[in-house]
Amino acid sequence: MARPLIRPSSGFSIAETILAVGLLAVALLAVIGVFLSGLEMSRKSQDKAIALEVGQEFFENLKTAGGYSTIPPGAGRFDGTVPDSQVSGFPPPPYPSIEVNGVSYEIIVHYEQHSSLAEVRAVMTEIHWGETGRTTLETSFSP
Amino acid sequence: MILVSTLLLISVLLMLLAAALQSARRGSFTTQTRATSVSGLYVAESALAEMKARFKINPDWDSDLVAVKTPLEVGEYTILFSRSESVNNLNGSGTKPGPYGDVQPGCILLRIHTTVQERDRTVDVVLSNKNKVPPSNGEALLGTGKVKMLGEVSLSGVGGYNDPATVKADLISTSKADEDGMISWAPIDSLDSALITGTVELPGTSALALDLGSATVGDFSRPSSPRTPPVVDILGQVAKNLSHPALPAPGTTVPAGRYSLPTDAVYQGDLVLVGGVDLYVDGDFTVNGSITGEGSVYVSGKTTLKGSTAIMSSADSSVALYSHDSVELTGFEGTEYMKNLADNAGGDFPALWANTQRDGREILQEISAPGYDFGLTSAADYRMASLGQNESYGHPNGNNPNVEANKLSRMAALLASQPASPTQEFLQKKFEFLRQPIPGDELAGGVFGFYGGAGDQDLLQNVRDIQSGLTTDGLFDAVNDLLAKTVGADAASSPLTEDDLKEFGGEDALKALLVNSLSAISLDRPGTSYFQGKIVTHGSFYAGHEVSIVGSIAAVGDPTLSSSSPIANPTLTLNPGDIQLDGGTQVTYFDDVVNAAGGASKGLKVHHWLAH
Repeated sequence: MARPLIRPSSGFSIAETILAVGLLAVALLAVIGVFLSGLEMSRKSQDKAIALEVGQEFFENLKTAGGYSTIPPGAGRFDGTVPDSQVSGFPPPPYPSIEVNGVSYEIIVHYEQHSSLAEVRAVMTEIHWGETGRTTLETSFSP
Repeated sequence: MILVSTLLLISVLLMLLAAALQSARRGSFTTQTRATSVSGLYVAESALAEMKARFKINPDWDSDLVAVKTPLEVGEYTILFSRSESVNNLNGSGTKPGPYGDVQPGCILLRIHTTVQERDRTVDVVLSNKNKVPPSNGEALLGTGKVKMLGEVSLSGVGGYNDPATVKADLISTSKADEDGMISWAPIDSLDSALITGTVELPGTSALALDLGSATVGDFSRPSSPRTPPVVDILGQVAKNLSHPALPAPGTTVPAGRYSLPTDAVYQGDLVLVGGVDLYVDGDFTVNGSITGEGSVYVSGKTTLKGSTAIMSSADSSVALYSHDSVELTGFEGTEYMKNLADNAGGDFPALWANTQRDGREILQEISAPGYDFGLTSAADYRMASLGQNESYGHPNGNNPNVEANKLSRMAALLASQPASPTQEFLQKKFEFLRQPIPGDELAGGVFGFYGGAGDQDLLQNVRDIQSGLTTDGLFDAVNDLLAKTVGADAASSPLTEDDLKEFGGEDALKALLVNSLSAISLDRPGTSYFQGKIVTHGSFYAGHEVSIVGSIAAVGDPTLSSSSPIANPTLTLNPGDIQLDGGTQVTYFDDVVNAAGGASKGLKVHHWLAH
């Protein structure tokens, strides 16, 4: 009787199975960990992008409202404190805060007269979100 | 086998993970890059705002600016002037080479290098003087024909409402005709005088061409070649801008934007331009009121308007009027009307009115004196109180309530009892500007009311609002009291210090604001009407009946136009380029006002913006 050409399969041993499952588990844990980290990075980027849009919206609203003529002379800061001594509608929206996708963006506005150019007023906006999120934009206006 | 499969599966998972991580990192990098890029663009805008301010002060600026921090130090910028970088050809007559080829005359190419969080960005901006009108430099009156002045006339100049520097106001004719009386002045009555603080300039050599009698003149100049008058293509601007919406009906302010009127137009009431307006009129334009605010008006025909009852204490209100044919600024004979009114009323009124005018002159003389010590109980302060309040106590001319208290309100009440007429209505508004009690705060309201509120913080806020042009209420009282409490007679007992004046530009700026505003208001002639801005016409210019022009006038005659006669003086014939000032005209050349004139069409405009 000739030997069969293919030896019949003998299946997985328990050791192989345990080893494979163990490797898979470790790999999956690592993957999940890094994946979550990537998700977090992506979320932070999105939040920052939205914060940037908030800042841009603030400046564009300021330009629409009249720019230089709406900025008070001298120097000061608006930090969303209630009561807030807003001067003739400055700062414009979205000050003092706006909520986007469940995240609250707080806006602080600084303004300052240029030290040597009488007809230049600078405005800086700080946008804060979460515990550590912060971005700043600054520009100046002239008549 | 299972191990191999597992390892394969793990490899695929790792590859997917690496791809996802790479994508997240790329997204984070992109966001961060975009953040600094946007921040860099705003820093470039900041640099542009600063450069526009510098060019306004010095149109020939071409000094390098290296690593200049923005005021709040978010970033910094660098601007270098050279053939391969920025080129200033604003005042050039020919082209200048630049990084992209020739820079045209009247243009500036700015290459702004910004740095924010160590990331660099470069922005190219092309600026041009849209109206092709070079910045003014003391030319209060410029005509290409004859300049004739009658009666009480004053031509003076200042840098700005907050600028203590005096600027000479020049009177120029560029005519080479060298005929008799090319520039002349004559009194109407024996008390009239003429003051020209700057230079009277006329080409030629004939001594009879200048006939100024006893006028006080700063200097004379007889150049062999006349200076170049401003060039404005008024007809061209009107022709290509007639597709804009029609002007809103009278009775409302005109919001920022462009408007047109395709035919002759008569506007009943005051034309108030807000936030920068360009108006184009194809035909004659008559305004039975004033033009105020911020904007430019181009008229292809003749322009006739009366003045405003009030001025703003800020160069933010400045109109550029470009009229191809003649301009007539008629005003009202307000002071004559008030004198007649007081004389006819009898009793205390003739003296009351005379004392009102006297106080106006005296206040200005006192506070203008060098070294003047502002005080809460100064002579000027008592005069102000007697004008705006029911007080004559302490008045330097004696405590006589009948003729020294509540002057403005009493004259306003007398005026209100008169039959309605254009002059009566004009003066009614004028007196409200000078003194109008505010319901609930009767002591405040008007230039000569007390400032609103109580306490030093309210005082500071009042002065901020006045300096920024938001109001003229309490102008004298607020500025006087702030100076008194910080650097004047009452400083020792006040918690305010000289440091509190820094935000306003210091003592000199505030004193200048007070003096210059009161000078322009000319309380001794409260019937005066105002035009604040710049006027350029290719026809003639006529001003009569007590007009105060805060700004400048240029009559650059177009020889194809016909001569004309003003409505207010139909026997007079004026040729294109002629200027005639009748009966008590004051021209105060304000550098800030003249170079700010135009609102949306102010001097420098951004034509192109290219971010690299």
